Amino acid sequence: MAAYALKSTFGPASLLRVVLAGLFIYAGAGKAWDPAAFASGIANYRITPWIITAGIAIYLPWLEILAGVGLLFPRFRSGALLIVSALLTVFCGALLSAWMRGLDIHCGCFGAGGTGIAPALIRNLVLLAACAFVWSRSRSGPVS
Amino acid sequence: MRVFIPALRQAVFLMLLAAVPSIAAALLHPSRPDPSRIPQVEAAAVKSWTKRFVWVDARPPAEFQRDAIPGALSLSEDDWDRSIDAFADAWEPGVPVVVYCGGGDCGASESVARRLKREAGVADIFVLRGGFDAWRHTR
Repeated sequence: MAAYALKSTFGPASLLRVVLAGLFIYAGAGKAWDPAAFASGIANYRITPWIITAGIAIYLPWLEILAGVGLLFPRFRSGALLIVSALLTVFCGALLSAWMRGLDIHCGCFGAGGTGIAPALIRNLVLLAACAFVWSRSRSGPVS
Repeated sequence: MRVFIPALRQAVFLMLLAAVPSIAAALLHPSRPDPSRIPQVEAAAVKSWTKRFVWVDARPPAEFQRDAIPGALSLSEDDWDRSIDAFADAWEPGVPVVVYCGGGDCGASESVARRLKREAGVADIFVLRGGFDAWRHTR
């Protein structure tokens, strides 16, 4: 009976949500540990002026961590999912822009270094698909 | 739309909440990025730039003579008055400039970059992270 209850409440959408939460907390923590290195990673994209880059390098890691934590709490789940989806979309745009300009850079996805552009883009698209799946499996739209 | 508004409200709350540790990090983190500093770029990233840019070697001229990035201009603080004309000939407004010195924390690249920004009006200017050593290791 207990196994049935667990199975009915913890399905694939819940599993994906936990995976997304873990990934975002891990990625945010790596960047929050060394924001100066993360700022250099963002500067490599050559999209934003340095003053904005520095601000992003300070704020984004904490947003990722809080969005990841929010995914684990029903009260903040849909808001956190909205943030995670929006961030992944922005990351895909930045990676695509770097790829189109022929830049050979590390994605900076988990702080300093990281994978190249193509693997990061594929990973983000898979994560975006996971977000879409979690949204679609929520009982009444995004609010579960 | 009915289900979207609570999600938006939660998202705004989380974004505001994230500002609290961010402000603390901006004030206290030992490795916080300084907005007044020159942005750093990695050697591998610079090597993939396809548009024209200028390398500036901020090391002393003797070190530049021994080994340097091909095409780089020597412009150190000690030799500024003699070398700035060569830089002015090679650089045009709008062309990015990447300044490097010997290694990780040499500091000369930062001061030369600041001076180029202030005195020559170079807006698109970067410091090479890890300096010449980093460039050599990414050959």
